[in-house]
Amino acid sequence: MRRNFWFLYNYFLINETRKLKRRPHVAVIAFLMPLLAWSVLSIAFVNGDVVEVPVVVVDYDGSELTRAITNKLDAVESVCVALVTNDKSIADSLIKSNKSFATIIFEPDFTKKIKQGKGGSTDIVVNGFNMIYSKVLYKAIAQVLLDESKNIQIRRLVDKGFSKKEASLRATPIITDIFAPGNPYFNYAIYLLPGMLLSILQMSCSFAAIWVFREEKETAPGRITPRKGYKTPWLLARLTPIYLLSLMAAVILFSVFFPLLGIPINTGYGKIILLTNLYIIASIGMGSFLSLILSNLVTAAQALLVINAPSFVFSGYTFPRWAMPEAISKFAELIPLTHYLEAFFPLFLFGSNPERGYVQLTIIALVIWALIIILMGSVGSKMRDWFREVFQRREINSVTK
Amino acid sequence: MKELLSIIKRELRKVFLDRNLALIFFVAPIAYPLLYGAIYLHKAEENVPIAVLDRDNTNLSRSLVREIDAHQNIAVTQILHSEDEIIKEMAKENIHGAIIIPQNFSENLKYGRKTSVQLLINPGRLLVLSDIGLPISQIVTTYGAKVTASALMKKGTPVLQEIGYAQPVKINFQYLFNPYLTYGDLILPGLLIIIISQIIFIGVAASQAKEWGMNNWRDQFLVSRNISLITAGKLISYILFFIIYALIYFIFLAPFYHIGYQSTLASKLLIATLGIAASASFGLFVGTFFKHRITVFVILGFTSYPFFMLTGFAWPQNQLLEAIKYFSYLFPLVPFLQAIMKVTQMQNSLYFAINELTIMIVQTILYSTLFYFRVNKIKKRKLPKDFVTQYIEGFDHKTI
Repeated sequence: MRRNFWFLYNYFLINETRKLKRRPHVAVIAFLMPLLAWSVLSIAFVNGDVVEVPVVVVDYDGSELTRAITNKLDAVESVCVALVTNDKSIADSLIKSNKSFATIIFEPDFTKKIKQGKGGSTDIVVNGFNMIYSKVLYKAIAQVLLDESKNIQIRRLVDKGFSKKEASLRATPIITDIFAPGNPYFNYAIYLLPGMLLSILQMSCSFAAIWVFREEKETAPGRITPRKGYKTPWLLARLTPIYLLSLMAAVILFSVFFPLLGIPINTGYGKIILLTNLYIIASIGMGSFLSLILSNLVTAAQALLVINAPSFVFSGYTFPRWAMPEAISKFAELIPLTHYLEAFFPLFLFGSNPERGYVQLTIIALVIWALIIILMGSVGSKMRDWFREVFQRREINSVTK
Repeated sequence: MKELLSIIKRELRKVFLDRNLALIFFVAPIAYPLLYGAIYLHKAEENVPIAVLDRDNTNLSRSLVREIDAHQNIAVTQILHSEDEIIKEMAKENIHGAIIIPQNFSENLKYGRKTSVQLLINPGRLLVLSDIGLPISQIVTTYGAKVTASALMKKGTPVLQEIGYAQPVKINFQYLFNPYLTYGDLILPGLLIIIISQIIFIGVAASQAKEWGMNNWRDQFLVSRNISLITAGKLISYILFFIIYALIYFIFLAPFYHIGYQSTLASKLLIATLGIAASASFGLFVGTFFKHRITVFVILGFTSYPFFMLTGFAWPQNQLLEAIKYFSYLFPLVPFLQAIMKVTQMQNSLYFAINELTIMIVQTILYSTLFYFRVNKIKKRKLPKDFVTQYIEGFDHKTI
């Protein structure tokens, strides 16, 4: 039996390889398409740090202090002072035409008011429609202005006879140090890219698997379900090329794309490859399941598109899952990407062993493949016969009525 | 005119009679916005869970924690005892940040020594930085100034309490167009445009692929021999079809999800018409390269993320490489989205979106011309032998 299994497996695998040479669309989807999509995303994100965001300074005061603050703002890597003017309408028009993303307005008599101890006011108008620019500018501008405020306070206290050290202590008794472990420079590419790249892997695995139970043609009509005794070697041989190609793509992702984009991996590759294997198996299962249960292959592709396209948003990566409605959050739990990202981030950012993710991915993979094995058997064919009969009867009824 | 009407009718009939195309043309444009709209129903992130590691554990440190907890964006959900615990909880995504209050925090404050509070942010969720990072920073600074001032007063040192003196530079942040900087308000207006544009692109390409796959290309020449008329007819049929969805979005869906498309209906419809025309002509041209609908769905499915990133919606376009930025204008989604955002969200006149409108017109002309040449080329191809008899004997073009 054992010898027979390997013989059959080899036979089917050689057949599969020949078919792939003849019609390579499965290989293109499992291997080339993700590489292409990752390359486009990598080029788009090649500058992960947000730099030189254009801002306009409206300086109604025109004093030495406001000029010094402007110079300090311009020196910050993420900010570029594109224009200094005393006409706010110019700044408004630049912000409206997306040529500037923030306006910093120093009020008239800004320096005079500070000298009088009243405090000078700075209004910062940020274009709220660019979330990343808004956050980066908020951080950079607030930092410069708070530093300057502290320096003014220190100079005042020194003038009153305090030592520099005492003055500094009184100006800011508590300092807040903000850290992001694993991403010390607040690089947004590290934050956004991994999730997006990995969701493409789910797409390629599941799409490549929709031909598992069909002939190699794009528009294969009927299902292929081998007879008893041939099922396991046939299915394994059918899946082997898809699995290997997906795994190769994943290895290229981690060994080429991640280092190129400066995405750090704070753990051994072994754990990541193990997790990725589970993810690939679950994703291939998703495609195979639809290939088996849906009679129309185009519908299967559409269903996968519906699941894959929003899966990145559903995963809670950009908008937290706990802030989503309950039903959507539950639906997201059925998608492998959600659990993969849940497990992947602790691994690659903290190097820690994720407790969740592994288990859920294993459960999803087991359930999908158990269902596939059941539906490949006599239960599945009886169910399909029953459905066919019901639908045919309905069709006849609707015609006769 | 009669020929043009026949082409439009033929194109629409094709969509109505094919179950898979009907799913894209009828179900997806309504189902997707409802689904995405539901995700961002709450729009803003409130009560972001954070943890506290209080190594001082005094009245002062506890009162600082209470002040932080009182902020509307922040919820102190856990009191932890080590940094390892913080990292573990962050890794589990149970908390998105943590404050570490050092030992001797209150003693240092009372004796006028400098102290620091650490704030750890979850690196996997950098967007919470301004939700919690900067409020915490401000609360801590104000709190420090208050405590030091009261300690100095107790010692008899005079303290100036006036805010203008304590904070020489006052900072007032305002967010234009999205005052509360919420994800929902930011994402939903653009998302509807991305959905409609991608559905048009994929749907129209799939519809063309179906004709190609079923060897029905030549049927359209039975309706008209003029390829320009065929191109125009196809384009008009899709514009007419999808403009109905644009109206549904602007009139019903936008108010339902509180999306403010602030402009006159005429301006919105003008942008939508040009966007639909550009997306449909792009779909027509790309569809000529596919033989099967399934390949369209699978291959074009991969374009969704790169297209989304190129729009500058999630990642600023100014940060893209210059060449990529110009390349992105080949895709109709980019000017379509930018025009809608400029006019309806930034409340500009159409004049501010003149570049985007021009690009969409150029795209429509370019892709329609390319489609014309593709059809012309395909028309010259020889028929498969099996089909020759059918065409010689005549063909009922009503059958699709």
